[in-house]
Amino acid sequence: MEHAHSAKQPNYLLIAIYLGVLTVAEVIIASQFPTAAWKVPVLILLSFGKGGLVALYYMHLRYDSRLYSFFFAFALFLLAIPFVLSLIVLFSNVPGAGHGVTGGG
Amino acid sequence: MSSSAHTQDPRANPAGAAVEQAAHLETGHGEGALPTAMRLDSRKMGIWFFIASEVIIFASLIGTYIIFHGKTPPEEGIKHLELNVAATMTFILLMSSFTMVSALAKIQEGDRRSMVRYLIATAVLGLVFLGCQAFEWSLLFGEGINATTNIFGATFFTLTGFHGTHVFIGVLWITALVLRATRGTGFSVTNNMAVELGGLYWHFVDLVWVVIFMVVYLI
Repeated sequence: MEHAHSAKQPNYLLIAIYLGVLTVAEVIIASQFPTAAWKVPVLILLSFGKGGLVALYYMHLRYDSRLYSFFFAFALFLLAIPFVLSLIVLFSNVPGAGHGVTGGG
Repeated sequence: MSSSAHTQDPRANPAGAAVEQAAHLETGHGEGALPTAMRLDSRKMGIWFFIASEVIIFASLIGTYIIFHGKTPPEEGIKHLELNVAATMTFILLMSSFTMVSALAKIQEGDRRSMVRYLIATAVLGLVFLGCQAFEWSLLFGEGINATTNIFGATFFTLTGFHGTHVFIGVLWITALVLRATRGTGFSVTNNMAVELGGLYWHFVDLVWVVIFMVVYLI
């Protein structure tokens, strides 16, 4: 059973290096291209990449029961993200986005 | 799981068979593992439920920051943030995630001494992170920005303060693991669930910082 578990373990140092490289990329993009139109989507993608690496390999979701992944993914993608998007839409001043707290819409 | 692993007849003694089965559930569950209908360790399920609830909490705080982002003039808010300090904090926390997962890997190989070293390194990195956060806060206080100054201050300090509290609790948790590891009731190849649970919490705290770093400092 120990061997089976050892065989499943990824190269954690390599994952750490990937995370570091992604972080460096984020900092470069944010500091060198502050007004670029593609900045926000690229940063979001990079953050998802980093988060994915941590969740899949450090938190072992890649190797554990799919039920744990379900709990986490459900909370994140079906509750948290829609909740945040709803808050942003409801309380922003974007014209036509709804009745904002500050009177927009 | 092979039937030869069971000495109890599930039909004659379902409770005894369930307890026996629990001992074979996932590695590291040697002691105290409670069987569940889904054949998973109840402690690990519990921590994942807890993490799911924490996802909601942090999502609401991050969402609030996003909503009010831009309501404060940059020169009274985000312009005062130091990207270099935040990037350093990010690297520190990522390194601490590496040391934490390495600690778990070491005890799963039976190397208790290395596990303790990695746990101590994780706790130290956590404290360094908190020190950097205190330094960043002191810079903002020196420029007249605090939680009551404006909307940026209120949302920034609430979000980072809440996260920092979680880091501090994580440091205490890891310290408790170190103390337990150095005493008689330490960990082993078959008994390391507590390390894994602590690791899950710590990695989640790191995950949240990844999002905070992007939302607050980069965008």
